[in-house]
Amino acid sequence: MSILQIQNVSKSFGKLCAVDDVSISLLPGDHLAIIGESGCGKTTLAKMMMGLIKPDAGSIKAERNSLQMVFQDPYQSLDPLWNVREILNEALQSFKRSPRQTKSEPRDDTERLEKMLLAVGLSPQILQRFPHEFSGGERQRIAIARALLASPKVLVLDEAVSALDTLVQKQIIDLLKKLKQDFNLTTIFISHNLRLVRHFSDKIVVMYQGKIVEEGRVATVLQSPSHPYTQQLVQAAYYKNL
Amino acid sequence: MNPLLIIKDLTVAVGAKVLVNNVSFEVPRGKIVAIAGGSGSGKTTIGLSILRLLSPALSIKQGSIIFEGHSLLGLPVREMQNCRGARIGMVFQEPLSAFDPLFTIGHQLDEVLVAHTQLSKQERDKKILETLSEVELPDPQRAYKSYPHQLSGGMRQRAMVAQAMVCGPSLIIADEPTSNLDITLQIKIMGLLGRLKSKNISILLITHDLGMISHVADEVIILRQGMVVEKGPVGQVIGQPQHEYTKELIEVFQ
Amino acid sequence: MEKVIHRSRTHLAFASFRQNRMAIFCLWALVILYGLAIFADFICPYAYQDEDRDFSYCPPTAVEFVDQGRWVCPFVYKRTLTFDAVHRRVYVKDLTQKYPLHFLKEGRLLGVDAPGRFYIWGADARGRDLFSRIWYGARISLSIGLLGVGISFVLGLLIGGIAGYYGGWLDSILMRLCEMFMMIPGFYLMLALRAAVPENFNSVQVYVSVVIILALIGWASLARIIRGMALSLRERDYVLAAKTLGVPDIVIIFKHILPQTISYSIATLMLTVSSYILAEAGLSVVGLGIQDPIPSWGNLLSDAMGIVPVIFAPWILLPGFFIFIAVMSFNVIGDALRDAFDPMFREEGIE
Repeated sequence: MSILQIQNVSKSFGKLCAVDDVSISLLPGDHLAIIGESGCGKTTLAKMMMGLIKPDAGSIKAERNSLQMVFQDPYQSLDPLWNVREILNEALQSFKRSPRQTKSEPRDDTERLEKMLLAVGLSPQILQRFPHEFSGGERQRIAIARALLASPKVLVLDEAVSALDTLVQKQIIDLLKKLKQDFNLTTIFISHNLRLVRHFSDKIVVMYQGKIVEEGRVATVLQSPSHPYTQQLVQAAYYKNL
Repeated sequence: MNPLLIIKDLTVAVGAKVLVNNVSFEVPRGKIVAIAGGSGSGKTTIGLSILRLLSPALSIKQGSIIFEGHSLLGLPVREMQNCRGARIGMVFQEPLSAFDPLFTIGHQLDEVLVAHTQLSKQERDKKILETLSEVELPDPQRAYKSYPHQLSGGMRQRAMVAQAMVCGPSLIIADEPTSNLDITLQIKIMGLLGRLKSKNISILLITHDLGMISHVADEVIILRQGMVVEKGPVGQVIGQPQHEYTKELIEVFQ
Repeated sequence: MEKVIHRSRTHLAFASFRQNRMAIFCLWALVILYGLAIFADFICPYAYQDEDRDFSYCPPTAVEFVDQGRWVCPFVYKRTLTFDAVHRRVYVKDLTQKYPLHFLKEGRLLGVDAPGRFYIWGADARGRDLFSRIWYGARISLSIGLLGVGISFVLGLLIGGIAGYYGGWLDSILMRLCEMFMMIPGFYLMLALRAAVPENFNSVQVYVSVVIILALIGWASLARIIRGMALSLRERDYVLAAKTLGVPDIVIIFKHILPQTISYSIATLMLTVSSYILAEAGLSVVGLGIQDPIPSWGNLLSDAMGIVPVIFAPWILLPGFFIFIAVMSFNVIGDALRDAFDPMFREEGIE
């Protein structure tokens, strides 16, 4: 029973075809990676999954409010005029409004916020601070906490670590690995970094110029890519290894 | 053969906070030297200090920067301006902000030539087209007439390298030249840097990408919070890292 | 964790504003003007309609401190009206009649007993104290601008925010509406709107009408700018994040988009207040604004429209001076605020 069903979805902007007849079936517990170059339609696809853009053709079926997203740019994804408490509260209140809320023990809101901050490796004391006081990695942790407070079933990571330093990237990926266990998440990891994909996801979909050109298990596809574009990517990534 | 660039005991601070702490290293002629470090390590500050483009809040507390035998720190502003662009080129991280959106690429490269050389218009155009094709832009004529926003990210990055090298500098400082690019483009830029080296242009490569460093650079300096943690030939530092931090950085790339 | 303290944008902006000495000076000037207006009942010797026709155009009354060579409590001499050879008014001091100045009597700071008159800045045609009329008038002139701006502000933010956020046909309609209002020259629009106000309105109703008229001429340019800002702000990731969290559009506009426009808006507001003060003065000078006997700086100036008063009773022009001070101060503060919030004028403070 798939948790997200994308069927023959297409989207064009003027003459440019950003997404061309894409179909993906995501099962609970999957950890899917979508890789491809920038401009190949990955982010457009992500926005359609989140319901921010409507596809021109095809359909996307998912339970309402079951997807949350962590955005690429940590310096743009948090409202600079809001403090951490307000940012996280926005998500918490939305969860309460959603039809999916189960009868959880009525806990103090602040307690829930603090627990989540601890879960993402931040101190619960930061609730009254503002985004500009934090580094890129810390801001992404806040963004992750925000996404998780809405109790999603699927977490979409749109190049969520691409803007960070390599050491910080590793920290955040390790954090996400832990969180996907703790919160029982299904994940979609959008990236162009094969090294990270290898660490994080088990299934992979390769996009090129809006179309899916290859898919399968991560180990298989990266070991023996069949499509020439995938081969190119793998070669380049291998070349960049130490 | 004297090193092209000698940095000795460089210390840069903003108020009480020290950003660069007693950093010393050398860049030999025709070699690529990389400065590796995370954010806050001070690596960009070093690049800006060499060109004396630091924001007014920052000050160089001590140290010397010797380029081609002359001290850069004592140079009068006029001479420093002559140096920038002509003897030392800089490639920035974000090509969109490095180019003026109102002028074509050709015009902006021309500006650099006009400022530093006495070539005629014909000779300048020739040089610009030559440089644009050296950086492997697919259609140099078209790139010449294009505005920055009309080029893709990868092409803009290459155009920026062209702008840095059009006057034939002996040193190019490249600050995260590939961080916004996809992997195939990164490979292209790495190749370009290698070709520059073969023309005896030295490159000071500032980045946090050890993968690129291991392929392109000859020497590497590991920087952490403003201090040199380890330095030496790339093969040695990456093959047999001594410091904990270096080992951490390398581990990330496995 | 790095020990780098980044100051927030607002903090930096105010710090930068505080360094602008001219702006601080103007801020104090406004504080004084508004303070005097608020406390007019206390500081003014007379009510604004208190007249004495025997003292028409009486010059400012000198306060005497010395009586027959001795220091005494301040007092004023009686003035008697005489006419000189060419029938000009001359007020002669009558040294036999002294009226001591008293403090804090009947709730007023200064005053003299009747029939003495104490004119700090002279009298108008009907013998009303100009000083008192100026500060009672300040209440009208300074408040009308603020109220008008308050309404323009709300209108501009709402319409601009909604137009920019939704785009499409709603945006087109609202912007055409804006352009209509901007197209008509302000003063003529004002006169036209004023002509639509019924003639039998009492003074309070006239006041409210003027406020509304001012608000209507000024909201459009603010709305246009806000709309432009909203257009780009709605693409920000944190707005998209709020959308994915199911936050209703109107909440997003009010809590994410409009707060980002406040800094620009406040600077524009200051500049708009000054134009509203001038607009009210303009209306009142031509007799369409606040009516006599209620003073406003504008209608006080209409008293000055004539060569005779200007040459022989030059103090009658004082309201103009205060209009100048108020308008200039708002302009300086508005410019300073705009510069303070402009990222190009500041460095990000790293401490």
